[in-house]
Formats: sequence, structure tokens, C-alpha cells
Amino acid sequence: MHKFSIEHFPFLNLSILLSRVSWSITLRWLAVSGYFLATIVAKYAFNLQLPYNKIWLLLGILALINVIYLLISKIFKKFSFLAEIVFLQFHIIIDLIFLTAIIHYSGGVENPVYLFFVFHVILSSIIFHGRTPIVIATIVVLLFSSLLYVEYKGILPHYSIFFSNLHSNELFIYLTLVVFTITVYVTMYICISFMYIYREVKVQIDQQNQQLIEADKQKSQFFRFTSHELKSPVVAIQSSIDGVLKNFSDQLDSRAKDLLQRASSRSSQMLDIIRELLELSKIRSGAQTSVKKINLNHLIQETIDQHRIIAEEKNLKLNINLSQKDIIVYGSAESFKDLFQNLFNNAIRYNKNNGQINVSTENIGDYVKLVVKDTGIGIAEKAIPKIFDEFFRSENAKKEVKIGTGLGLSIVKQIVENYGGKITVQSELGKGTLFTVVLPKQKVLDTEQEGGIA
Amino acid sequence: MQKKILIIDDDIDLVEAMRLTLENANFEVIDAQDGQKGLEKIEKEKPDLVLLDVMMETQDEGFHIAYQIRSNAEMSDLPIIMLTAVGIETGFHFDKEKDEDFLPVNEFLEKPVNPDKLVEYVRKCLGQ
Repeated sequence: MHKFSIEHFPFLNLSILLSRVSWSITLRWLAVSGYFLATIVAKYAFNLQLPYNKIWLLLGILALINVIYLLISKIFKKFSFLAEIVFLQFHIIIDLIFLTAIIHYSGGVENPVYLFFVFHVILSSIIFHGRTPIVIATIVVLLFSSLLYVEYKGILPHYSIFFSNLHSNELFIYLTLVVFTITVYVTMYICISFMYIYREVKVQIDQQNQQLIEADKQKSQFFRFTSHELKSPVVAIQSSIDGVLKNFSDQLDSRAKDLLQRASSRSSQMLDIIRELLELSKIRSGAQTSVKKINLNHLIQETIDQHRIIAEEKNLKLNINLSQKDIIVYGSAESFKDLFQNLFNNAIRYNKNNGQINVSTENIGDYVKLVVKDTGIGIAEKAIPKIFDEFFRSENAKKEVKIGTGLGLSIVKQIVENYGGKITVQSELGKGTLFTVVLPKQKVLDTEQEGGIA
Repeated sequence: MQKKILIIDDDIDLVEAMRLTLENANFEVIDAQDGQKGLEKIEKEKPDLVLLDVMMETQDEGFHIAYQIRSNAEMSDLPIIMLTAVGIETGFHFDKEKDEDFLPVNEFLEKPVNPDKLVEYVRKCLGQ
């Protein structure tokens, strides 16, 4: 017996194996009932003379075994990987023995139902690794040859369907066995070669994925580190400049004062970028903040009220259309506030004077829909795919509002995705922009990644 | 009488910038570069108010110092203004209304501190 180890089964994980087991159980129900129906047809429609009672008995036992499988898999939900593999191998070997017995009672070599052996060969070649498929294929060939041999020798009676005496025709038996053996081994070979390539590819993809995750993590750490390092000097610079401006204002010549004011505003711009970088890397690193029950409509209304003054400066008309029913989500209030605030702020900053902003929320089944629409400068078509990128600011946005970090929408997207939601944007240059956020009401928990083949 | 303010912060440039503003506003300013020295100066020099940086050696050194001040009967009434760092990297979300119950400081000020705000907060905490 070869060693079992997870690396040998890159296509399988426990959950896939479990689904294989339940699949195997379902297939067995179908096979048992299908074969039972076939015997009914054979008996009453075609009047074939076969030992039906024995076949039915076998089918009955197999059904009983299937019930036991079902109970085992229900009771021991948490099998180990190894135990599942052995359990499945056991299934297949028991099935092969029953199939041989059923073929014996159904006409032996006269009944092409022996081709069903090929199913087991395919199944085991897909699921198992190493020598197991070869062992199964060999068991199949041995079982079938032994059956034909004992019937040929008369050790066991032959139940004939067509009274053709094929079971005692040496040449026919040889021909059948040779073709059957070739079919079984070639099928197995094709399946395992195919699976070999798939496993190789899967291992490669997994490795590359791991590298990508690693690289992204390093990038986030670099972000974080750099922001921290930048922060203290900039704070000191700004504090010094502001100190001079406040305390020596009357001694400064107006041009010197102007330059210092510019320096102060630039360093405060830099601090904004640092602040948002830290925010982004915090969300990136998935640091879990406390999860709370949040009334989304209240939070949105609150944020709007806080920004009303800026909106009034531009004489913007606010159309707020929040759902009648409260929308309850679970998460960090800070994140939700950041999410809405960034969208709403953009809608104000990039709007035209006397423009409009529409904000609406809606309950749609298990989802929440939030729409923020403005009548601002819009986004050029070719810029749309980039707007969620870090530091990206579109040409017209830079023209309209000189200072901006280009991080707001990356933060928004990261929050939405962390929550298992989706954000989409529609925009027309010069007309306005519409952001739609769809969030699941209950945060989608990360489920174990399903991979592999059906 | 001139009020005495102790700044506990390890960034000397920041201390100087604040010193300038506070001295111009007619306060006496002394400073300490770390928490331990800060505690010693409180005992020796009896300042009227402490400006305390939240992050020095460790992420929350400022909090520990604040607790020590509050738990010492002699100085438990000393007003403390905590200087918080940019952004959220301490892992604490500073919200005065919410944290009042368990944070033993009078006010929070985010760095970089606006000079006018600094003077305003200091005056407020001194009851001026």
C-alpha cells in the first residue's frame, strides 16, 4: 500500500471527498433501482428465464449496505481525509464484488452489462492517486476472468439468457476477456494521464497563487511601514510651519507668509495621503474591528447632515430617498461610515454648482442596495476601469479639484469587497456619475475554498 | 501667576513648535522625552497641565502614563491633554464622548496640532 498524503491529492480536500461519498451513495441508489426495473422488464416484457430472486436479494443487500454507508457518513461527519479515502476504496471494492455476483445471475458473458465495470475504473482513476487505480483495474479484470472461468468449468452454474452456450465457447471467452482487459487498462491509463496533467497544473496554480498572496501582503506591509515612517517628520514639519505662522506672523513679509501658508497646506495634503494609506492598509490586512449591529439609514442620514454645509456652499440639491424599513447590517460602523462618506464627498466635490445629488437605499431580499448619483463632471470611459486603483485620479478630476489623494475609492472598494458586496459605476463625461453598492445583509463568511473537478 | 505646562513627547521638534506657541501665549513650558522622566518631572516641578503623547516607546505608553498619573492621589487632579497620532495606527479609536468613562484624560488633540486649537484646549482645561 502506498502512503497517503494530502499532496498526492491536490484536487481533493475533505469537503470534496465528502461530496464524492454522498455522490457515490446517490449513484448506488440509482444503480440498484435501475437494475431492479431492468429485471422487471426482462421478466415480464421479455420473459427471460433468470434467477430473479437471487438478483433481487443481492440488490436488497446492496441497498441495505447503502443505508449503512449513509448512516456512517451522517454519524461520523468529521472523517479524516485518510479515512474518507479508505471508505471510498471500500465502497468501490464492495460494489465490484456485488456487480460480479449480479452479472453471474444475469447471464454472465452473455450479458453486456459487464461493461459497467468500466464506470468503477473511471471513477477510481479520477479519485485515487498512485497505484490504487491500477489495483482496482486489476481487481476488475481478475473478478471478471474468474467469473467466466468458473462458469466455463461448471464450478458455478451458468444462467443462460440466449441458450447460446457462449459461456463454454473457449474462443469467445478469450476474445471477450482480451477486449475487456484492454478496454479496462486503456480507460484507466487515459484517465490517470489526464488527471496527472490536471494535478500538475493545479499544483502550479496553487503555488503561483500563494506567491501572489505573499507579494500582495508584502506590498501592504510596505505601504504601512512607509506611511508610519513618513508620518512623524511631516507632523513635525507642519507643526513647525504653523508655529512660525502663528507666532511670527507680524514679523513676516507678506510673500514669505504666503509661501509658508502654501507649505503648510501641502504638508497637510501629504498627511491626508498618509492617513488614507494607513486606513487602506488596515482594511487590507483584514484587521477585524468590532462587529456591531448598524442601522444603515441612520448612519447615512447622519453623514449627510454632517456634510450639508459643504453641499450648500455649492447650492446642491439633495434628494434623499432612504428605504421605509430600517436596513440593519452587521459590521464596523467606522467602515460603513468611510464607505458612504467617501462616495458622498466625491458627489459633492466633483459636482457642478446648483447640481443635484441623489442618495437612495433599498431592501432587496437578502441584499441592500445603496445608490449615490451626482450631476458632476463624470468619468471618461477609458478612466472607468481605473477609478478604484490606488492613487488614480482622472484628468478631469484633477482639473476640477486640485488636491486629492486618489485613495478614497480604493478604500470604498476594499470595504465593499471585505463585506462580500459589489460596487459598480456608471458615468458619462460632463453629465454625472452613479455608484451602486450591493451588500449582503448578513456578512458572507469565508467558506472553505472549493476546488477540483466535479 | 504663570501656569506651568509639561509636554511629554519624544519628538523634540514637535516639543519646540508647541513650546513656541505656548510661551507666546504666556505659559511656562517644561518638557520630558519619555514617560518615566515625565512622571518624575510631575512630582518635582508640579506642572498645572500635561500634554501627553500617546505613542512613544510602545504604541500605548501614553495611556499607561495617564493611568499612573490618575492613580496617584497627589496628582490625580492634574489635567491631561492627550496628543494622538495621525490616523488609526494605535488600534484605538479616539472618541471623547465614547471613551470618557475609561480614558483618564481630559481632551484629545490630533497631531499635527493647530496652534490656535492648542492654546484654546489648554486654556479650557485650565479653566481660563
